[in-house]
Amino acid sequence: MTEIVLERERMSDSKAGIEKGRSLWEDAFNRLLKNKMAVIGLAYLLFQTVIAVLAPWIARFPFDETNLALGAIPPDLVHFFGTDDLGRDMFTRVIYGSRISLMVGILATAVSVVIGVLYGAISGYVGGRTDDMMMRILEILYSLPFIFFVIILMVLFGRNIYLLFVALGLIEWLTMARIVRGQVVSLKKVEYIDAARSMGVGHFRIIADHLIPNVLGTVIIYVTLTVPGVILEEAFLSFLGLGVQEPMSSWGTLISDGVAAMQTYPWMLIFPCVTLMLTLLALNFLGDGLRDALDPRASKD
Amino acid sequence: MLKFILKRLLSVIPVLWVVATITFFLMRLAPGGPFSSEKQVPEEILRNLEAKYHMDEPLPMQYVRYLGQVAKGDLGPSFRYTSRTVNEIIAETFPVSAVVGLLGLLYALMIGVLSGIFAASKPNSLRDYLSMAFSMIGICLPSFVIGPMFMLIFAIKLEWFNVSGWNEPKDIVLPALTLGTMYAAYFARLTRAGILDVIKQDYIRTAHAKGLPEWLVMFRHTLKGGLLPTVSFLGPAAAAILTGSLVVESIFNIPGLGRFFVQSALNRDYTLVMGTVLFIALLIVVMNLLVDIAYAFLNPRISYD
Amino acid sequence: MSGFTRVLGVFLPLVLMNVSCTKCNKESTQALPSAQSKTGQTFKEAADQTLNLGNGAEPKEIDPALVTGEPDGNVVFNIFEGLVTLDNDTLEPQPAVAESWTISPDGKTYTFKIRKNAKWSDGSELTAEDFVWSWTRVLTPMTASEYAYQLYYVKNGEDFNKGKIKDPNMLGLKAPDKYTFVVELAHPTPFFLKLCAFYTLNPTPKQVVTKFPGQEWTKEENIVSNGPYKLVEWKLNRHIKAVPNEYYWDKDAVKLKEIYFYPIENSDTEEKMFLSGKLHLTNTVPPLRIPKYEEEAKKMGADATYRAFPQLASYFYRFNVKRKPVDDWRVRRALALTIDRTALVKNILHAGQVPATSFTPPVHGYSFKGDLPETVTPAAIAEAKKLLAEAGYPDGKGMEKIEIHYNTLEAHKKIAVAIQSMWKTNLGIDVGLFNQEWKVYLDTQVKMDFTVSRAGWVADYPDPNTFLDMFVTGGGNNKTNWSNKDYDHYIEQAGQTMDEAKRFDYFHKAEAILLKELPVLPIYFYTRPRLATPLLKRIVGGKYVVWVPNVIDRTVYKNFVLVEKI
Repeated sequence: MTEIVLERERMSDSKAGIEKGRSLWEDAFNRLLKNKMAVIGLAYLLFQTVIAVLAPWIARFPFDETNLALGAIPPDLVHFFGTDDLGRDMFTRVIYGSRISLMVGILATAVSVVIGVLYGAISGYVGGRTDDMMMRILEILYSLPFIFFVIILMVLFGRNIYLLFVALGLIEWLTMARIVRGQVVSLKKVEYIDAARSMGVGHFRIIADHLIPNVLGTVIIYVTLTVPGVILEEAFLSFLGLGVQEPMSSWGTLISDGVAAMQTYPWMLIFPCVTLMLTLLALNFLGDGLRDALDPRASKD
Repeated sequence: MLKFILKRLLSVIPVLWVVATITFFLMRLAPGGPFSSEKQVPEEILRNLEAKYHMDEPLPMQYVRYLGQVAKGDLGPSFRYTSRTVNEIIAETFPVSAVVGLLGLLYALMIGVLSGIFAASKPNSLRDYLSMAFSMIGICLPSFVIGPMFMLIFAIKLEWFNVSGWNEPKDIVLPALTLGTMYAAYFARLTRAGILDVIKQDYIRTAHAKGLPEWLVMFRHTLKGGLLPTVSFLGPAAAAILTGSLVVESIFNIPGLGRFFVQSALNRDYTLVMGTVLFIALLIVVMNLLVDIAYAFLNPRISYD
Repeated sequence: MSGFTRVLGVFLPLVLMNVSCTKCNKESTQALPSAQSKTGQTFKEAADQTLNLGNGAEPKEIDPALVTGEPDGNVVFNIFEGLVTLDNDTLEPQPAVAESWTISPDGKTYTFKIRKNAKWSDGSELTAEDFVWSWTRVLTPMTASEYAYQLYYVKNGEDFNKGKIKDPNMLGLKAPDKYTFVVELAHPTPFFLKLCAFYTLNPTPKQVVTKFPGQEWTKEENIVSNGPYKLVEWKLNRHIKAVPNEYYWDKDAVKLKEIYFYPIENSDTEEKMFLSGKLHLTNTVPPLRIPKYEEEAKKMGADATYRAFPQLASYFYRFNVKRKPVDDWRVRRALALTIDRTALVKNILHAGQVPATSFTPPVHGYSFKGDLPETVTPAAIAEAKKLLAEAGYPDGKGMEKIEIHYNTLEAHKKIAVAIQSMWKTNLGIDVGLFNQEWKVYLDTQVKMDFTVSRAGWVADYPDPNTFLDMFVTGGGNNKTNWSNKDYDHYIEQAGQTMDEAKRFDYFHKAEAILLKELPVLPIYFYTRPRLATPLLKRIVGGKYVVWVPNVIDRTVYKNFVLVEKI
């Protein structure tokens, strides 16, 4: 034990001495770049984003152009992903869909992360009665029928697409908070936190500097799990009339539509599904890489 | 510990009360009601219907009346399934969801945790990537895609199972598998992450340094801490899985409780909504309690005294 | 999910059915009754006479006085029976609980002779008093029956139901003796006899209804009924099981031993169950699978499993005529001219639906040839463009945004998307879509918070009135803000005469107005696609006959058997 601790000190000494002080983030970034899979993941996500942004220029057909006489045809040189049963080009629909789904994924997850991490960290850290209270509130929120909540939101605020992100984020943050709280509760009692307290470090600094970075790993992982959930839940919300309206599509609605056609026109399901899978796979590898990179305990061996 | 458990069980009452109150008013804020239909019902008949269900009384009065009923354990008749009471419906359908859910959960835990361990045992190796890729499939393919696929493969092509229905024990299998696959993926990811977190801790290094064999380190030390995120997630997940899923129950035609959560809201079946909401609130409180107890067990530093 | 309700009997010649069907459908899905299948096989009764039916959704209730939904109705029609039933093919009223009847010359008094051996499934006698009691119950305000208005034809029925009269004895319902039931109507009502087959007018068993609170009398352990079958099991979301009623007066006609009604909501699952032999008859067919079945049906002829038959129902869009830009009839007509109805029916719906050139589907000998196009011709586009320009929107410029409102369902979505695309291509206008879940959608319609809204209407009884009287000024089902004095006048006139030719003439005049002003945009007339095993047969005239559903889509399983090939 002592040897390892000494080893660490030596390394940080040398770090201070030989190399210029690098910020934690630069360090992390370098570590990330060394992770092959994470880099591939990042590259793919950037690629996906670029396509999404450039969709109107890349697509060969307008996304709302139907061709009833054509109907659904399998992939060919004109229609890379085939067409759906209304004769719309699937490739166009998938890349337009990516705009919605990526936006939904990022924004809704961001909402849930911000609220969830703060709530969970505070609850776990403060503990005691406050923690009890906050956890009970969480339980209450979990149980409420969110369909009504969404419907009423729509009645009050109209069919705003930003409302969609808020609604989704507000559903997802609950589990995030619970997981973060769990981590914080267990981390709270770790020695270096006690040490920091005894040195008089303020609560907020402790939360910000010690707890959150340690929790970040789990948060990142849970983010990679939230994003697909949110993307697919969006399809359910469009059932309620919230979210994308036809003829605009999202991966969620494309997959939903594709299921009905699974046996007759399988390409209607395969392409959106595969696209979603690749994106999420990339996200996962990136997430794992980020986690490893940001791990404050990662040593340089 | 005992005091802790008792305190938590007592908190059920205020939680349920708040849930009931919010739900009661929330439901009635949404447009539409239990009696709206495409063929416009004449005014007078609508009024008669509302009188029958005390809906013509002022809202606070309806609330008090209903709450009094609920306190006695009577959740009232369903607005939609008029010959049944909500209590009956829940009593009949929960066991079905619970059985499917339990099987699904066991399957998910087994496959999920084991593959998480498998992946974490050699991070960033081929086995890691492959098992995470597989679990990714479970997350990307929602149950309304997997369900029909399983049905196609196992019930129609291979004919190992019935297409749908709830008549023999083997009817539990396909729904449970469909339900569990997504959760298995979650558990796999969370377990892997949790283990990787713990592995870097000092006490694990110590154990290794002491020369303990890999699997022993894993099971005696790593797993306890590593399961923490999975267990956190398990609380609400267990409540959700036990109360069933609308999608799985519709696809496989299972008389479970899951479909009512969505359908009763869409039908504005106020009493059934309330019943299902209260029921799941109860389950969530209980599950969270179990999870918190598990925390203490998994991480000796956590205590509730 | 739209409210499919029971439609009453009509004499619709098979000829008419054929004509409307061969126009739209491919060919041999019209199976004509024949004693043998095309391949000349012969059959015998199968050993297992258990019929498995896909029933669409879990019934809400099966109290005849309260039932409004189709799955509920399918069950009720087999376990209860009214004064008359409708013949499966001709839809003419046949004696049921009433063995005979007389109608007074002025058409206002019906005297029914109740069968002496009519019994309830608990063995007790069914008498005229049961009908008086049951119909009074339907009209009683506290029963809150949604279909009470079907009995408004009875003298004082409406006033009693609306609480203006309190004494039930003032109703035109009398039982002078055990086997005589006398009904006095407020006005002569030409279709009243057919109405008597409707479930709302079924008798209900006083002995159990009064014994249990609320709807508990319909639970499996309590229920008593009078139809060819009786309900023995009702497991929520699992099945309803019915077995022959041993006290039924015509029990020899009941050949099946058991019927299971399965509430299968997912049409894909239902199709798979049919294919794996677990169902004999489905409730519907997933639209994307229909082309494949139609192909098969061509080869299999009378043995085809896929059947699609016309249904008395209309699919249309409502306009809110108080909202711009659809407040101008020229805009409405332009929109109506530029929809390719045939393409919609052929490529999206697949089930041989009929493009609607008028609002009312052919019913009971009435039909109206409107001038709405079935496909879009260049001439129609030109006319539409001219109309738009005249209305002040040349090339669609300056037009307020139109949004099509619909309830969330795959088919509605696809049709809306296609129509949106058609209007864009043909008129150059951009139209938006918005969907809402069912209850919110209904609420939006009632509040008239839409410009264009999708709608459907299933006939309550087989008469043009059920379609056309929707649009009288202030009618509860109007929901278009449209009002036309002449229209109201014609509908009123049609309701006051027994002379059918005169009535149809009034209806023609009314419909002409409707189609000129177009407060609604007719799109198609429904068909009902189903998968049915060719081994389900009816016994007609001593022979096995392929079963063909009727236009009101109501089937009572008397004289039905399951066969196997010899």
